[in-house]
Formats: sequence, C-alpha cells, structure tokens
Amino acid sequence: MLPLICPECGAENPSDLERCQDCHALLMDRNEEGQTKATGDHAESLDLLSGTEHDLPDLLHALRQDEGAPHIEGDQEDLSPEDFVESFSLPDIDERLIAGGEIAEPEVQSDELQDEIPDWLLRIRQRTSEEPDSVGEITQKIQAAQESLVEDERADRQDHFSSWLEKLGDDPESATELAPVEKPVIDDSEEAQPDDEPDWLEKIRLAEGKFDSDGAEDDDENRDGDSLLQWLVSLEDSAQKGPSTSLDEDEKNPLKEETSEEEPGWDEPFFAQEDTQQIRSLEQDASDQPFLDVSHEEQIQADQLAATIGDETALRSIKTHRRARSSWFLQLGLALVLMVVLGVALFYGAPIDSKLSLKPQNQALLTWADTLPPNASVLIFFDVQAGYADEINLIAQPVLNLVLTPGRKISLISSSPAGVLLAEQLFDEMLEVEGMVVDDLGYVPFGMLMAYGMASPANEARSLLGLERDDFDGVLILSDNFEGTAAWIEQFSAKNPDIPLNCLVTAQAGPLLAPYWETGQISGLISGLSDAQRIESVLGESQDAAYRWRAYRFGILIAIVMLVVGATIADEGKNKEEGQGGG
Amino acid sequence: MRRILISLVALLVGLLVLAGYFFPFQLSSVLPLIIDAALLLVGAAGLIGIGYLVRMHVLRLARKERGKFFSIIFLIAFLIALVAGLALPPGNTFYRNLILGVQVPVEAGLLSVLAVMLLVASLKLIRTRGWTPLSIGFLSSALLSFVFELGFLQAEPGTLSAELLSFLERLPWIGARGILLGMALGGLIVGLRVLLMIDRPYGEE
Repeated sequence: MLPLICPECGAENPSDLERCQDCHALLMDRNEEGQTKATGDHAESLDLLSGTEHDLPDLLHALRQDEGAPHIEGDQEDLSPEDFVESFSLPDIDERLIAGGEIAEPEVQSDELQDEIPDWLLRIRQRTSEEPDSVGEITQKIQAAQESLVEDERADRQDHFSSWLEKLGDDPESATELAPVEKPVIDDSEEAQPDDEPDWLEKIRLAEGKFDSDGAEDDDENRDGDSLLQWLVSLEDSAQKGPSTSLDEDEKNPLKEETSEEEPGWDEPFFAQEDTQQIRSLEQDASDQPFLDVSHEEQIQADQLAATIGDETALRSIKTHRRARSSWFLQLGLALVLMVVLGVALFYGAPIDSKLSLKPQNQALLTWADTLPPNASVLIFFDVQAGYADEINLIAQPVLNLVLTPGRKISLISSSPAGVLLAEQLFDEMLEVEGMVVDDLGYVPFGMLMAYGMASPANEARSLLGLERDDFDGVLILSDNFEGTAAWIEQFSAKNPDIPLNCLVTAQAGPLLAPYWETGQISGLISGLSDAQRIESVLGESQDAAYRWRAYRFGILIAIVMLVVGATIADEGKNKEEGQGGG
Repeated sequence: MRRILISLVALLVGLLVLAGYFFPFQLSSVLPLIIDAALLLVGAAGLIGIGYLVRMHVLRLARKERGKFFSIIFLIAFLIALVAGLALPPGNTFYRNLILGVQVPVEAGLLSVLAVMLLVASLKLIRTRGWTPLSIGFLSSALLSFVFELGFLQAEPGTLSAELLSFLERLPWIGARGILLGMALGGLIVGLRVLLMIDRPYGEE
C-alpha cells in the first residue's frame, strides 16, 4: 500500500489512517488521488475518476477503508472506478439521497432482490440508516455552499458561478476541487423534492441535454441519471469536454479569432436590470479568458451597430430609373425633320456673300502663291484621308489655281493609301491645261520618314525618290492631321529654312498648326472651310465654298443650340439624380 | 543574344540618325540607306498586315464562325480591288471612282457620327461632373469657337473691337502652344530613353 499524503500539511501517513497524524486533516481525498496516480495504465479513466471520486459519498470511502468491508470478489474486483461509482448510484439509494438528505431503510421489493444484494451493500445501507451524517462530504459541502450563497449578493453569486464554470473549462482537476465549494446551493426543501427542483438545476440539465424541457417522465433509467452523484460526474465530464458549445464552434472556425459570449444567467431579468454585465471574451489560444465590462449603454450601441451592419447587407430591390422611351414613330419623325432641314439648308438658297477679311496667315499663303516664279518647282505633299476629301478640295482649289500654271514643275507625293487617288481626283480638272507637267511620285508609307529624308542632304547616287531638296522653290502640304504636318514642319523647315513651307489643312488641324505660323516655321496657313470661303470671296473665282459655307454655318448653329440646351437639361438631370440618390 | 543584337542595332541606327543632324554632309551616304531600308520595312509590314487580315477572314469563313457574312463581303471587296489595281493602269478613272465611291462616303459618315458623339460626350461631362470650372471652361471654349467660326462677329480693322476679336480668336492658340511644348518635351524624353536603352519598344522584354 502506498502511504497517504496529507492534503493540508503534506505529511506521509500510513494507508490505514483516516486522518493525518500531524494536522488531523481528512485523508480520504488524497488517499483516492494517490491510488489514482499509482495506477498509471488507466490514466485517462483516472483523470475522470479524480473528478468523480471527489464527490463520492463517505459511504464509498468508508467502504474502502472499512476493515469489516466485504471482500469484493468476482466481477466487482475488476471494476473500473467509474463502474465502481455507478455501482453505488443505485436507484433506491439515490432517491433517498435526494428525497430527505438521509437514506432510509431500503424497502425489500422481493425476496429475490434481497438475495441479490451483497452483504457489504446491506451493511452500507444499515450504516447510512443509523448515521444521519453518513451521506458524507457532499451534504456537508452543499450546506457550506448554501451558507455562502445566502451571504453573497446576487452579482457576486453570478461571478462565482462564472468563475466556477470557467475553471471547469480550463482545468478540470482544479475545477473538481473547487466545484463543490462554489457549487450552487441546493435547499433542503428543493433537495427533498426531486420534482420541485430549482431553476438553476433545470437550466444546467437543459444545457447538458439530460432532460427535456417539459419535464420528461422519470422512469427508472432517468432516475439513475437523476441521481446527484451521476449528475455531478456528468457535469464534470462535460466540463472536461469544454465549457460551452460556442467554444467548440470557435474551434471549428479558425477564422473567428475572438468571440464574445454572454454568460447564461440564472434569470434573464437579472441581467436586464444590471448596469453592466460581464462578457467573457473567448480567444482561440488564450489560456486565461479576460472579462469585458460592458455597460448597458455600450450594449445598446453594439446592438445598433449589429443592426446597422445587418441592414447594410440586407437585400433590397434596386430602383431602376426607367426613362420614358419615346415611340419609334416620334423618333422617326424627328429624324425626318432634321434630314429635311439639313437638306434644304444644303441644297437650297443663295450662297452667302461673305464680307470677312482674310486672316494674316491666309494672306501670307496667297502672297507666296502669287509671287512664285513662272518656272518654279513645287513639291505637293498629300496626306489626306478620304473622309476629308471634300473639305480639302474646297480649301486647296483656290490656291492650286494660283500655283498650277504652265511652265512650273509640280511634284506630287502622297503618304496616305487613298492619297494618290484623291490627288488624282483633285488635279484631274486642273491638269487639263496645256503645258502643265506633274510628276506623280506615288505613295510613301511613312510621311515622317519622308520628311526626314527630304530634309537630309544626299548625293546623287542615294537621293530619296530621285529628289533633291534644292530642287524645290516651295513645298505645299495638304493634310488633315496635325501630327504628319508637324513632322514635316519640324524636319523639313528646321533643316531648310530657306524653302517656304505652306499648309492647307482641315479645320481640326488648324488651331494646333497656327503657332508654327506665328514662329515663322511655315510661310502660310489656310485651315477649314471658313478660311476657304474667305479666300474664295477675295479671289472671286467660284462659289463652291460659299454654298458649303451656308450648310456648314447652319450645322454650327445646330451644334450651338444642342450644346446650350443639352447642358441645361443635363444639369437638371444631374440634380434630379442627386435628389433621388439622397445626396 | 538576340535581345542584345536588337538593342545594338537600334542604338546604332538611333545614334546615326541623331548624328545626321550635326554632320549632315559627312553622313550623306549613310542616311539615305537607312531611310530606304526603313521605307522597305514599313512597306513589308503593311503587306504582312494585309495578309494577316485576309487570313483571319478566310479562317473565320472556313470555321463558320460568327460574322462570316462580313468576311465574305470583305474578301470579295479585297479581291475586286486587288485584281482591278493590278489589271488597270495607274490613274484609271474607273478604278479611282470604284475605290473613292465607297471610301469617301463611308469615312465621311464615320466622321459625322464622331462629331455627334463628341457633342454628346461634352453634354455627358456636365451630367457627370456638374458645373465645375473644368466643365464651364470646356463648354465656354467650345461655344466661343463655334461662334467665331460662324463669322457673324466682325469689326473694322484697327479698332478696339477688332483687336479684342482678334485676341479671342487667337486664344485657342495659347492652349495649342502649350500642347506643342508638352509634346516636344515628351518626344525628347522618349528619344533619350530609347537611346539609353531604358525603353525598348523594338523588342520584347
């Protein structure tokens, strides 16, 4: 036999003593614990037993230490501690434990049953009937806890219960030592009447899942489970598994690092009346779980926040602003009206007799064309897309009429795929004049490279397209894009400032090329139908531009009206949208 | 090795072209050679592009993919233009009218649509941003340009109103000058980065 170690002073005592030799403390608990530690091959079950044995009644301790105890034979000799405990939780004994705090004489059901009961059990029953205090330590501790419960305030009682539950979850062994002390007290009246059990016991049972909420019928098996001893054992079993189901959920969900769980209350109105309540913050890896003091106001704010978050994620029907779609008949009517108005403006009416004066850049180009020598050599660079063909024809025709005169050498080169055909179309009528010589150099794929090549000096063997920069008295660029014209200006005029460079461009390229005229990099500039109409008006040759100018000006008027009205409507629409959006 | 070779060729050509601005007569025999080679490469690239476009439409037609009807139209038009261009002499009136009769109205129609889209986009600017300094400046500039383009506003030369009108008409040039300066500086930086091989637009990374 192993020596018994006193739980109070730690002194070793013989195994047959009930109390310590030094401090006279009770050795029962440590005795059992020492035996538990000694049996290492049943470690898992003994861990469970260490908690259960702590609550074993004195009957069991007395049985084990009683010299007169019967020798356990047969199957009972090999009983595990749990089975051994259950062997004492017979229905009849437990019922009496719960019924009156003392065990009454068991009634003899029948002779057969009487024969099956072993002698040692009969002696236990006899002893318990003779000694009212034989229910043992459980009853004593319950009474002590009852006194402490009466003394404590309700909030303190809640704290104790919370800490008790927490310790149950954290350290089952320590919890088993503290559990009986801080265990909720059971009144004698409540203990005496199993059917009239306290609320907290009902709630714990419900939490443990032992009984149905409606108070299930108590058959014999339920009566076994209803025994206080088994309840405590099962309670500690559940405590070893984990304090709460929410903690299990947290373990299952590793992403949820921190959760707050409100302690289950003895009664809900109690918490409702409190100003503050303690919320246990469960961290996944934290051994000690801190408490958060949450005031009533903070709880309200938290509820509002949760409601707000839930409201944000709630599904709502999207309000779609459907515009009233006008019928296709109305749209067709508007389109026809526009087409008719534009057609009338384009094809009917007298040409506008412009009284506008020439711009300086226009006048400079006309001056260059007028002052060209009769045998001058002119290079015409054609860089026009087909879409701008009509506009560039109107712009270039008055100037080309001045330039293309018999005796002059005209070289034509194009850098757009359709430029060759467009140039042929443009010059077709002009070339009918006798004595006119036009050298068509064809298509060059990269206009910027062509400008660089023309500007660079070259020997006779390696001249680009057989041209020399000194061959020309002037260069005339017909273009519809700013980039190609600017490349020509920068490459050619920078290297050959003596050779005049003139530009006939469309309206959208004019404003960006005007600074080159201001700096003197180009000699003259005509851009757009507006300048063409002015030149035509000054020269007085034809009225083609004047007719187009009429339609062009009408189109500009429509654009101005649409811009003003549309901007007003668009701004109103924006204000409406902001109003609908709550902005 | 390949990347290094490409980089070296690009660097050498760039430096030669740049040197041509400073020593034009000394490099007069080299620069036309470079220009001819570049023109040849650009032309070859155009032919490759045409071949790739035809191949794509032929494959779409063979695989019976979506849009095969337009592929048929394209292939027929391409074959007609190719055969006519090869068969007819340059300057043929029929060929010129055949091509320009399709190309001019199509491109003019696209430009008209573009003008309407720009007008609608300017209105969208007001709708999305409201009356901000940017939108007010944009709309007022557009309106002033349109009004000046109409030619209704005229003044006697030499008067104050003529000077004011001239100033307003030249006002867009200020913005154009700023754009040109920015483009020049940007071109200079890009050229230097290419010459220093910081940017390599001529080869893969």
